[in-house]
Amino acid sequence: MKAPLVADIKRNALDDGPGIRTTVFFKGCPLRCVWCHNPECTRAAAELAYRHERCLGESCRRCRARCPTGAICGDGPAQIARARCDLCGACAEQCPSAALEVIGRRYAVDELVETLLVDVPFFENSGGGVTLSGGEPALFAEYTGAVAAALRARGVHVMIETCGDFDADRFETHLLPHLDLIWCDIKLVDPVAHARYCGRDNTRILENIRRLSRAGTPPLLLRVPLVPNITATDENLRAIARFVADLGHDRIGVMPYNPLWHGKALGLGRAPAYTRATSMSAAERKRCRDALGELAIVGDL
Amino acid sequence: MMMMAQLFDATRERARDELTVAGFSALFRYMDLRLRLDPSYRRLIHAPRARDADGDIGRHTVVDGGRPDDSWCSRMQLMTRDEKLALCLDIGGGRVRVRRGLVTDADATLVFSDLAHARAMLTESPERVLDMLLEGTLVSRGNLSDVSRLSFMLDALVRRTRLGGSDRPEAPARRAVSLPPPRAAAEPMRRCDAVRYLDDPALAAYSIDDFPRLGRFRHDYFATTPQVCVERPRLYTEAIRRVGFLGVPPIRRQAEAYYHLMTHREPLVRDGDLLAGTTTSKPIGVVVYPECGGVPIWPELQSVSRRRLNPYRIAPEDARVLNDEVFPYWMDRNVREVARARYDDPRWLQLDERWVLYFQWKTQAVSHTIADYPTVLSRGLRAIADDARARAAQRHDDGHDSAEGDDGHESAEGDEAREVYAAMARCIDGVLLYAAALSRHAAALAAAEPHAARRAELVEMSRICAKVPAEPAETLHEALQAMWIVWIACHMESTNAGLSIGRLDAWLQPYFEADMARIPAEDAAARARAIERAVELVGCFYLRCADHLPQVADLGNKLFGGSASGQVICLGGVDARGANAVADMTYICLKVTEMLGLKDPNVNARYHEGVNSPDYLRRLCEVNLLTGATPSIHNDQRVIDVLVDQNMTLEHARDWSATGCVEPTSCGRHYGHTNCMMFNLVAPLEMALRDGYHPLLGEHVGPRTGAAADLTRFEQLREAYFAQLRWQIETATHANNMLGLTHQLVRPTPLLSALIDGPMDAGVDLSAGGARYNSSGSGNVGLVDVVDSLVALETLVYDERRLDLATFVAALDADFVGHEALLARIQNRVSKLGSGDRRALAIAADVVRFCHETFRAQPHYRGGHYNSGFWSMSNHVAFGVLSGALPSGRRRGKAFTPGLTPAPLRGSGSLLQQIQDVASLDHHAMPNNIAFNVKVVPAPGDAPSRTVQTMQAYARTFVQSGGMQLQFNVVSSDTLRDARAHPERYPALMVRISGYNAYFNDLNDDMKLELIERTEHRIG
Repeated sequence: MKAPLVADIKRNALDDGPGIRTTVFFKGCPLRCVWCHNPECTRAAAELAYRHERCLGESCRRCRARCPTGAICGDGPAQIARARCDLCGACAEQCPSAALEVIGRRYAVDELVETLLVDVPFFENSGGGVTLSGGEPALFAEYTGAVAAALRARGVHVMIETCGDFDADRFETHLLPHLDLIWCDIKLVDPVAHARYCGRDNTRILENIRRLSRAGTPPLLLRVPLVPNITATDENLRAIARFVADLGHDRIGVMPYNPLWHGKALGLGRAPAYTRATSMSAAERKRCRDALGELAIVGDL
Repeated sequence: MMMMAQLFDATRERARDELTVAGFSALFRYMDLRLRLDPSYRRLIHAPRARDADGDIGRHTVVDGGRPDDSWCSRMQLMTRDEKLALCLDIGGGRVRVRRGLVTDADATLVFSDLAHARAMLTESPERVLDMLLEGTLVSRGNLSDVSRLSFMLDALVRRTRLGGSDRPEAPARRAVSLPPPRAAAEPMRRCDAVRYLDDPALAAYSIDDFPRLGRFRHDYFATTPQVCVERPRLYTEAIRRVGFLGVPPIRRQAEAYYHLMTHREPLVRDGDLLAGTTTSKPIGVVVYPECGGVPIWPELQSVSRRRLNPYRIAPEDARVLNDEVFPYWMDRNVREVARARYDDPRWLQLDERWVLYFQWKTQAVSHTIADYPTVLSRGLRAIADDARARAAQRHDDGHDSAEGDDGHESAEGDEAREVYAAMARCIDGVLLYAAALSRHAAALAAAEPHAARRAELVEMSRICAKVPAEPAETLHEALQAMWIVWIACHMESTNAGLSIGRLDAWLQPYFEADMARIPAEDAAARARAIERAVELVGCFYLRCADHLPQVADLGNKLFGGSASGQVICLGGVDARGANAVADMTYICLKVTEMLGLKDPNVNARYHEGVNSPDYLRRLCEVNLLTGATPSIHNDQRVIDVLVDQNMTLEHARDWSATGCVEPTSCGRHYGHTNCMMFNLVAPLEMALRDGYHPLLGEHVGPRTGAAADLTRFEQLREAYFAQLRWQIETATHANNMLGLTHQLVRPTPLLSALIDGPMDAGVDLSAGGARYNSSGSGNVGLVDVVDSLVALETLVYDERRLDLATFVAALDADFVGHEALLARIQNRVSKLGSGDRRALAIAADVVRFCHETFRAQPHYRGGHYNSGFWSMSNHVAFGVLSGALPSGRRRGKAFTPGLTPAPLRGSGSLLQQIQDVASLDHHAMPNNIAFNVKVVPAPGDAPSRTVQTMQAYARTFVQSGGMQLQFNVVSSDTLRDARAHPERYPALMVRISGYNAYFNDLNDDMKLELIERTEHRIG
């Protein structure tokens, strides 16, 4: 069982489930949603990230001097020749302002668990715990299952945030028994649109959602990322509301669009395919609420 | 051409210098002229007639510790460091003579760094002159009263003649305010803790609208401009003039003056109030203590109502009283000047007046203590006075016995004790006569009152004041009235700076229970009415406590902006036996705290894990969310531990309350001047990096600990820092000791001594060590800045060897300009306290332990010890603004971190790690407590209950992990930025600085920025 890469461990997370939580973001996802808010987590391999706003600019350029493969040239780290970069990290190590960083660190199961247990008192006092997120934690069901099992053995509440696109058998064997709560995305009901915007069709996702719903335990919350003109259309939201209600759910989670991901994507050398640069307006939010009909809404809309 | 230009520049500069010197001469010649020709100006200095003769004016002789007939006679020197300006002013006989030259016997000297700064005094605003005093470009040496009086006379000289200077308008007596509605409603809760009568301890059904009386008082409070009240200084000075200053045993002098004050002050009742008596004669009064820190307001007597920050109104007649009758008398007799004269202009006092190493609070007050209210309530003051008289009589007999023997020493001690007892009784007599006057006044008001309901209230008030505080209280109303009168009485003696109320809830609970027990259990309506009445009475008490402010000169606005009197009420915790002390009155006080949202009284809460309920902690967090800034939360067990460490009995340790800001005092038996000084921990670091040279002071102040180039190992740097720190601790504690001895001469406190356990048995005043427990406490400022700096130095200079120490110091001197990569590396790549970094924690523990052990090792003037703590009031801003760039990456002139709070930098860790790091520090080494300031911002859509749950989890984990004290600000930087731009929209926005609360609008701009820039932890 090879450990996946962890992009980030966020402590004091308050939006990723009940109470005070620590969220682990794994690298690697089967989907490629054009609006992905965690672009650093889609690829399973390590990546060199650049934060333009921290960079000291031309007066520094220690990175250029340090790069053994000449991947940082010309204007500096804003233009990394990623084909030449072998992720040695020499540039990041020398960067005084931490503008350059290699994203992706491997933890042995025990090491990750020990790291997460530091905040147990906060979990206990707030009804919180650990959230496995990403990326797609179910992609590494054996590993994440082992982490979840070890955490639960120490009394920690464990939940997962998943895109739903996973191998159900592996999931049910390794991960499901160790989860207290599942938050699963439902993005687009139309399989063609799903394939177009998320890179794969949604047949397996919808089937997995049905299976999880039927099982009933652990509790399942379905959540929609609200992306204007893609998921946040009247038609799609009504279809989702119908699908969700038919499965017997009376509530739905929402994640309104936030353009902050653009900077992260650019720093990874990717031009955002979806370019909307503003948050949703009050009118857009209201329209979403209306389209979701009778369902109780979980989240700030 | 170049040569010509240089020559021209040099000539022009010389001409300008000459003009400056001539300008000063002309100014004082003009002053002299005005004194001679303008009777209204001359009147300001009390000189009957200007003397015509041109002969020498001799130095003044000292009469009874002061100058004859209070007239202005003084010799002052104005000079620049290079002596290009050197003027001597001989002031006396109604004249000012100015001559060039240096003298050695000036009463006071003003030293400008250069002529450019001297010019600034002639041309720029008074505010700029204050900045110069803080920056050290203007240094005052010698008697500050002389400087104050000269400033006042200069202000009066130019006030009507200032060209083009349109003075700001006077602050209006009342301004229109519209107070925002509560942020949210409280949530009902189940009965918990030792609650007996409240079905919903949160009293969620009630809001301020249900108590129109409190609503009106609260509105008045925010609408009223404070006003300087001269009643106390006038009566007090009048009496001491009669009794004499020298040649009278100090304690008798104090008692006589106090008696005169209490028997002549006006008995007042606010229209509609349930409690009789006021601290001052004004709706919101500024109390003046000329014997301590009163005189520095002198220069502002004509401008204080127009100043930008925290203006006070002052009636022309009151300004006249202060200028003519009060301040002249105290020029040489206040604590600061008596100490200066007594110890021959000591170095420690000169350093105090540079404002950057430490701030000695004994120049203003001792006050930080708590009287024994349970005894006041259960026995009454008359019994205490009788006790004093009986002991005086007994000592008298003993004295006779020993006088018949040959032990003169015993007899002298007996005489002193007799003086102490007589003074105690005399003071209490004064208090009781004041209460009687209140009773008569209430009766007179009742007789004239047309409305029956109010008439009944006044009749009851009159009855109560005739009974308490002389006799034991029996009802909640009587108990609160007794406490209020005694509270006024204490403030007539001790400065309103940190004198604290204590465990209001615990002490009132028996009286509340007695009231409730008188109501039949089945009469639910009557019980509900009694609970409402209790809320209203406590509300009146809080609002009465808010009827005064400390006097803050404009310099103080820069140092302690917006601070209040620091009257701590400390709720909850355990009783002396360790049982749960959270009861009905705790929750009633919390309800009042929630509804009123006042900065003062400063509400603190004790939470005892395992004894107090988690629901109570949740309620504390809820009140904190609803008020934005209060109460602060203490780990009860940890505080009890550090009091036991000081050889207190467990019972006494459990009976503690916060004092002033957060500092622990065992109630009614502990004289612990818990804020005797604000102590700058960063200054020794600045000196350690420069061989004892302090950049702002511009001289080698500290010991020679080696040049930067010679500190080749981190261990050497650490030793250098500790050597500087030790020197500063020794100097500062010595200063406190000398000022403490001066208090024994100037300002014993016989009333307070009668109300605290110890002096009655010992026959010794509190100021001389009469209390059962004695200590003094410091607030050490900038620990995190020091720790982060030492970590950065160890990492970059000694471990990674990226640069040498001398280069680092050069970068600091350049404020990192040209060293951007170094600054970025420090800010981004070096570990900080709060990140869980072991090195940072080890260094923090090292510095904390050194402070504790070094403070503890110092001698103490009252036979006590020093407690070191880590909270900063607002001095992290004041000291920070005066300090250069630090190795921590903090830029020049920025605030230090507040209290013991990780820096607002990227490397400072998540809130959870910060909580754990701060909690991990050894509380035994921080006996004067800490302030961990946490700014949290709820998400806009989050339900308050979710936010409260999260806050409760932070607080509980902090306590369980061993943290001592934390205080939440629940406000976003955006809101604070908006409030900075539009103050009128936020008349009551309360924020926690470090230890105390203030209204954001009252803060100076540096403090506002510091609050905005504090790390904002989003919750939700």
